[in-house]
Amino acid sequence: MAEKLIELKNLTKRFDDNLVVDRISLDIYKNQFITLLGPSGCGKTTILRMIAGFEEITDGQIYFEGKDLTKIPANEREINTVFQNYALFPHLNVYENIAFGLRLKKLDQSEISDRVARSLSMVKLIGYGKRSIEALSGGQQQRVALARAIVNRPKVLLLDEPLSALDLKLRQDMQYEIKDMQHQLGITFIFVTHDQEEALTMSDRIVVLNEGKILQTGSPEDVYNEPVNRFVASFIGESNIIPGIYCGNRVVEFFKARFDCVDDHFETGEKVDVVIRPEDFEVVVVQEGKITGKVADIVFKGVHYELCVMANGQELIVHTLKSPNIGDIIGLKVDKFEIHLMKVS
Amino acid sequence: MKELRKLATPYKWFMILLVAIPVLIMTVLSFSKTSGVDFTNIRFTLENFSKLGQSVYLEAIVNSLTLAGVATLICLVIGYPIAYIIANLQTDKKWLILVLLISPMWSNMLLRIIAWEQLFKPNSILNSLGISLDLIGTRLAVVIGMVSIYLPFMIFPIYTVLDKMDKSLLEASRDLGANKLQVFTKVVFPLSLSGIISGIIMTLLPSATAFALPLRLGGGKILLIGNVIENMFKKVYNYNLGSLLSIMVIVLIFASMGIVNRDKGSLI
Ligand SMILES: Nc1ncnc2c1ncn2[C@@H]1O[C@H](COP(=O)(O)OP(=O)(O)OP(=O)(O)O)[C@@H](O)[C@H]1O
Ligand SMILES: [Mg+2]
Repeated sequence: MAEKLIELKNLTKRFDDNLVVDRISLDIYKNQFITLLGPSGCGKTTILRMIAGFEEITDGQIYFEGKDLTKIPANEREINTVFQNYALFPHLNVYENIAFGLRLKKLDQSEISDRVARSLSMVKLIGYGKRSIEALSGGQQQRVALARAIVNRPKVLLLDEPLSALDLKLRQDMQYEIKDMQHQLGITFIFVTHDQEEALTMSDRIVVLNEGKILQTGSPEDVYNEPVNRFVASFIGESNIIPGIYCGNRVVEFFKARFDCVDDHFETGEKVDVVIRPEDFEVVVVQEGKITGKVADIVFKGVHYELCVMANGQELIVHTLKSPNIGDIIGLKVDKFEIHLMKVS
Repeated sequence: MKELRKLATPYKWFMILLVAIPVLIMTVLSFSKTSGVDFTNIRFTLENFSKLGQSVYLEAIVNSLTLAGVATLICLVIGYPIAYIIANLQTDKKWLILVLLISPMWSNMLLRIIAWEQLFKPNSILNSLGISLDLIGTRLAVVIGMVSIYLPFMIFPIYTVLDKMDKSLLEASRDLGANKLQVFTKVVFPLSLSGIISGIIMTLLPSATAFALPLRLGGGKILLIGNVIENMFKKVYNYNLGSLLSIMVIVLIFASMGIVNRDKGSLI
């Protein structure tokens, strides 16, 4: 495993009586793209601001390369931030915005212009140096904000929902560009978003948060395929959550039938939540499926069809490439590797 | 929209009657020779302009600009920190402090000038403290009077820009390595320039054109352009030259407001 760069230990933040970040412990490694993912108000920005040094911590520690970070003022941390609203200086042009940090370091003119030029080319804004900030589109401002941060060669870049103000197409382009940039720079990115798709495409590691607590940490595949509870499962991607009972020996019972599965860390007879992703169902003729349902609705989604199937009184979402008709009775099959069990929370 | 326009009708007539028409008359007077406002023997001429070079007028203009300039500078030096401190107070009672600051403006300006006059006289209530100021007729007295009266006009526009300044810009500059002083010199101050310019114009213009204040505190020894204009109308009865001087002041005011608006456009 890579070297540890930042370590959060029981990090806690309280605004008056409002507990916003609740004893978070997290290791962040060098050259990692880590995403804090969670619904609005779960404390993502607050965590980022504590790492950047804009918010006092109530309790706990932050270590940076093994040293206590809280003793270092914000302007001396080797950390730069891309702000949610960009926070570009309106009285400076693009060049001066990007050069701001370098001028403070008293670098000489030729090195400054060199590094600004390189970072402008990295965000594909060559020739925009003389423009005023107001003369830029939202996407271009976003790039300037990125350039202004990376030009300082920080060890960590904090990005607070940097893409949320952009339209879908631009946003997808920028997702790849930011990811690409992280590879090129080889530095740690801590990325905040409430968009699960964005988190899944961009991250090496995802931290799922809710109400100031970490629910799950893992690779995108892990949190997608093995959500630890109902909240994570429904927050990350579409999923069907079915109540069931663990029967022991890697067998689970739901919809009045028994299924083989691969999870075994449950008590026999324990109530569990069964997660099955919509794309993991296979639509078959009634005789072949253990689950039988009636097609209630069909929506064409471009590549696949999304079916709403009523089975045992529960609505299931099913993705399939060939469409039945509304009202058809169909069978559904699931591979045992696609049946995921979670503790009931 | 139409409804709102109707509401402005009385104001429009008010402006036409009391501002536009007098300015028009004064413009005509500036370019002519008349006896008072009797237009029967009007004769158009530029001779009023040739009189502008006379030393009385030049001296009055120089006096106005230097005294008002010094007063404005002092207002800026005192007013900026005050505005800065109030804008950064961690309280929701900022309005109360502002109200206290501007409350002197609610008392009559002439009354405040006379109050200073009383204090500056050799025999004043300060004698009981063993102090005799004897400042009447000095430039210092005029400048103190100007600063005390126009200081709120400096504080207000600066406070407004500082208060509504995007706080994330300050964080961004800290993030990029600026210490507290650099945050101020590189971000806060440049971004408050528009407020400073408004403040300067709002103190410089009324100070430069004041006439009651230099009359009272200058003891008749220090003449500003406002006093000369007053004399033209009330003592010399040269309405033509008086009008020309007034029109020049109006042009000066509009020119500076033009500068403010242009700078506002580029700064904010
Ligand atoms: N300065 C503050 N004073 C008081 N409460 C605050 C302050 N800043 C944030 N909060 C509260 O802390 C909670 C978490 O806020 P935070 O901004 O960290 O959420 P977030 O996860 O970034 O949400 P979003 O996705 O909407 O940006 C919210 O309930 C918010 O009201
Ligand atoms: Mg946020």
